Amino acid sequence: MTLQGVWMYNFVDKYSPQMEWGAAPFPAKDPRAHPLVTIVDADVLAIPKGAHHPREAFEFIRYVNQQGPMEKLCLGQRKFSPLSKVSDEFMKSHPNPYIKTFIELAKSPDAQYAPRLSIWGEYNDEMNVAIDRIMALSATPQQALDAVEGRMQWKLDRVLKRWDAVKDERLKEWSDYDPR
Amino acid sequence: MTQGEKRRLWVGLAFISPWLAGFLVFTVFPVCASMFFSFCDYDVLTKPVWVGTLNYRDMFTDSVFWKSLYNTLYYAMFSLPLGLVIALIIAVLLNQKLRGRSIFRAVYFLPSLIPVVASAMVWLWLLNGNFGILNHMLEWFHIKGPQWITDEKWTKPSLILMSIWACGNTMVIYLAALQDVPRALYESAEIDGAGPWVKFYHVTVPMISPVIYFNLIMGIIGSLQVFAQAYIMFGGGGPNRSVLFYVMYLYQCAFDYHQMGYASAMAWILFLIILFLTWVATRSTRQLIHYGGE
Repeated sequence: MTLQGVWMYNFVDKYSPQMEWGAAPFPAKDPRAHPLVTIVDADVLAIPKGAHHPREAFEFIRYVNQQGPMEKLCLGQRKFSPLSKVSDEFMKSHPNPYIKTFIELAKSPDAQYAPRLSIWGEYNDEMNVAIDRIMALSATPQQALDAVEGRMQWKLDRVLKRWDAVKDERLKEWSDYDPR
Repeated sequence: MTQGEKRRLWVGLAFISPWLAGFLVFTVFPVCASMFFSFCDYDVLTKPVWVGTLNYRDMFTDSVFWKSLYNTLYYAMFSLPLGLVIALIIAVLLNQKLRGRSIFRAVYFLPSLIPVVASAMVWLWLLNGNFGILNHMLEWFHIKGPQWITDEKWTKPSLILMSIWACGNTMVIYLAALQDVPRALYESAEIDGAGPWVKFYHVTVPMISPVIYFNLIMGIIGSLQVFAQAYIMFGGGGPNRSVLFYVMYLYQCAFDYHQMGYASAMAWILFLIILFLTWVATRSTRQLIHYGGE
């Protein structure tokens, strides 16, 4: 078992097309109440500051976000469309046999996005350590998550202690900051 | 100082000025800056703010810091003595009058010349628990090989094994020292009836003891700073951080978590640990090292 996303099909198809495989939602603590738990993420098209052709770039983004071009792009990447309207043709011609599972997961109320916090990278590292321990049977899920909680609490306490030490300087620094 | 001496001094300084400038900019300044940052809250993007000894105090309660220190000391405790002994054995063997001796020397030194990224990638495949050649060879002897890369009990031994494989540099230094041992001493020992072991223990080892000491000190410094191979092979520190070495955690704090102040404090603690261990090694081996002039 591996915790992966819709993109994994591309690698299976390329490197081991004969492999027998299946895709299912992540195991949940309470599968009856929350059957479709997942983390959602998305590719983003952006126009960077100082771009030479922002109008044309915006026009391209507008074009890509129409149903037809978006489905064409997603079929090329073998992902599912982020738009709410999807044609029957897209579903029929999609090569991933489990694409419906991934669409259901993405539309689920239990789909969560990774919090945009500066500390998320550290949180993610701790979660990866926990997953390693669970997969290696060196800790139960509860033990591993308790360890993550303990570690993150230590980090939070540390940040708060640090903030007490630097807040006057930092607040002054930010109030002096002129965005122009 | 006479006028001529002054002129020569300035000419000399002018000649070494490129090195001097590089030394000041790339060594002295970073060392002094890291000392200052170690007492600051500093994330590289904003200006450093003085927090006193907070970074040093945080280390005592940081469980990952202690784990990385334990991993590093464990690695050093095994890789250093094993590397020293095996390099010495190979050097002694390669110092014998054998046919194709220079080819053997080149072969044993070769691992030290291979770029670390390339060797790490090769070792990843060799040590692969399911498809690796090492486990395949163990199967010949009906031994089921472990999961070298994914089992936390075996990740450190894997890296120790790899470090021994690349002991070519140490071996070459031993070899140079072995060739410097006067033949007359061996002849005298033989006349007194000494066998190969006695000659090795009472002639070779004392005569090359300064070089053993040199390799020991360099080994302490090198093994406590182990980074590249482990980072390439295990990135975040391997299963359950079993190979998160001290310098890897330092790097993670500095460049992944943007805690440059904390990382600087860790660097200074590592410096003090190396200084202490070097002092202990120097003190404890003082009686055992024989210099030619003494």
